Amino acid sequence: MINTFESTRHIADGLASLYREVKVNFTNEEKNLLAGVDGGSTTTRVVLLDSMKDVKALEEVYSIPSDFGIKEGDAILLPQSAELFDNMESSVLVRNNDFLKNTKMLRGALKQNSPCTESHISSIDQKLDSAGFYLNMIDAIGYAVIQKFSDACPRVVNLYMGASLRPNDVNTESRRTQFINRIKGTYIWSNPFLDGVLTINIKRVDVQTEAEAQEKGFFLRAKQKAPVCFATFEIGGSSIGTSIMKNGVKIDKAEKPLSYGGAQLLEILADNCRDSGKLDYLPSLSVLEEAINSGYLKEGTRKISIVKEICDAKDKLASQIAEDFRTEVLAKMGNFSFKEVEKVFFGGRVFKRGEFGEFAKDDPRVRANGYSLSIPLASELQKLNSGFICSVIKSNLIPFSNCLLAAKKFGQALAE
Amino acid sequence: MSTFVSVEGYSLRLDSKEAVKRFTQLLENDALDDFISDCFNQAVTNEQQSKSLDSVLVKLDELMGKMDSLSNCSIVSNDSAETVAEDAVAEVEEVEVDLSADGEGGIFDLLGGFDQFK
Repeated sequence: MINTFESTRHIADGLASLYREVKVNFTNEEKNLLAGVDGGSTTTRVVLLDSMKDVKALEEVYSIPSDFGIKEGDAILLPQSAELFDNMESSVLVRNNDFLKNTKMLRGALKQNSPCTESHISSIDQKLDSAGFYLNMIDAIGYAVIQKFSDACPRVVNLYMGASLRPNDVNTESRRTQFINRIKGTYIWSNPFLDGVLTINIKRVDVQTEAEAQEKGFFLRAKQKAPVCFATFEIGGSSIGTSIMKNGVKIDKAEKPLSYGGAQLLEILADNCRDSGKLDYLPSLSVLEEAINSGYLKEGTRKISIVKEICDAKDKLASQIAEDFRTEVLAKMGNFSFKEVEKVFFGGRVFKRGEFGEFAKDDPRVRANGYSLSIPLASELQKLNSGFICSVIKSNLIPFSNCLLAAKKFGQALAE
Repeated sequence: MSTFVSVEGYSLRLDSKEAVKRFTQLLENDALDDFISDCFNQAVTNEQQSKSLDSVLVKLDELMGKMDSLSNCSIVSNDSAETVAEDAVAEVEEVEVDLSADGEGGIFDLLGGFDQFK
């Protein structure tokens, strides 16, 4: 018997819009735009706004993978298909900027299949000092503009931007200013597969922390009054941002980033799988990224449940986060008592509970067919204060919130 | 209702509001680490030839018992704590934020929410 297979591609979270063909018609127009940018270590996301009446535009998030390759040489690269994911070769020419250099970047399939020098945002370095972080934002804006305005794409965009950083990148005025001065400027963005060049003028910028963006985004969108005192844990791929607000004022000492995140969970899971003796091979992190949601790994046609290992990994990470939060954050906050906190918010993909299906019965900790990191983390935190309410905000509100920050500060630019 | 606190691989069970209050004070004053460390050092010093879990626990229990306001605090090993943890599973709500369009005022409707943050 001959089986026929339909080829399917693994589409990473949030990148679905890249798996389609984008035909771009450039015009000679110049356009003012507000932008909210979330420069994550895994994904860089952009929301664009060209009218203060267009609330719907806040739903449209354009994302690119944050890892990129710096192209070596001038070889002409051939894409596998017309989908944007297969055509992510871009060039950024920098004007009057001492910090950034002209760079040719490869992402998506071209990065995977072509010689290049890898660049990624590490958990240890400050984003503020990472050229890749700035290049990601500029590149993401380029890709967002060509997708949003594909039918009539302006050749020049003047951008008024809201962005977010880790707490230690914005905890002094001089760092905020340094970030703003580095990203502001003119960039010539191009992609050899497009028939045109885009000039991106980043005119004005404001910045907040990632945790602040997530929590403010929630209250702005839900149109809810914030509790007197609440805490937020925003967990990214490689860092954890914490924030505590009291009477509408951010407590600066609560904003200490922990230099690990979702990637650490996969590493713990890899260790657990190896130690379990269930497998004859060590699965890669990308395989584990899928398995942590499905609850199983495949060995040939056999499915091997790793639900217990997933639950153990989440318990271990939760315990580590709570311990570090207690010793690195709370212990250094002077007179503040965590018992004042009425509500705790969790944000980030790492809180996805997964869908374990037939394997859900393999561990008693599984609830609603999966097991979210929020359960053990809330349990750990409730040892410090048993009286607060815990919520996982399932949506990533950072680009949305950053765009509203830009609208609040620079909204008049759209009227000009 | 008991509150459980994990310290140095053991769980402390705080059985009264006073115990929780005293424990929180130690935590806030950054004195908890020193306190626990003293407990362990003394326990280990006195039992140099026999650092068994039981002897450390007994000593720690004894030291904790000396603190008046922690008189309702008892110590359980991590094995017991696992049983406890099942009872103490946290309730977490998942919130899906609807980003879809609404309202006539456009973006300005949303910006009003910034007023509650200073």
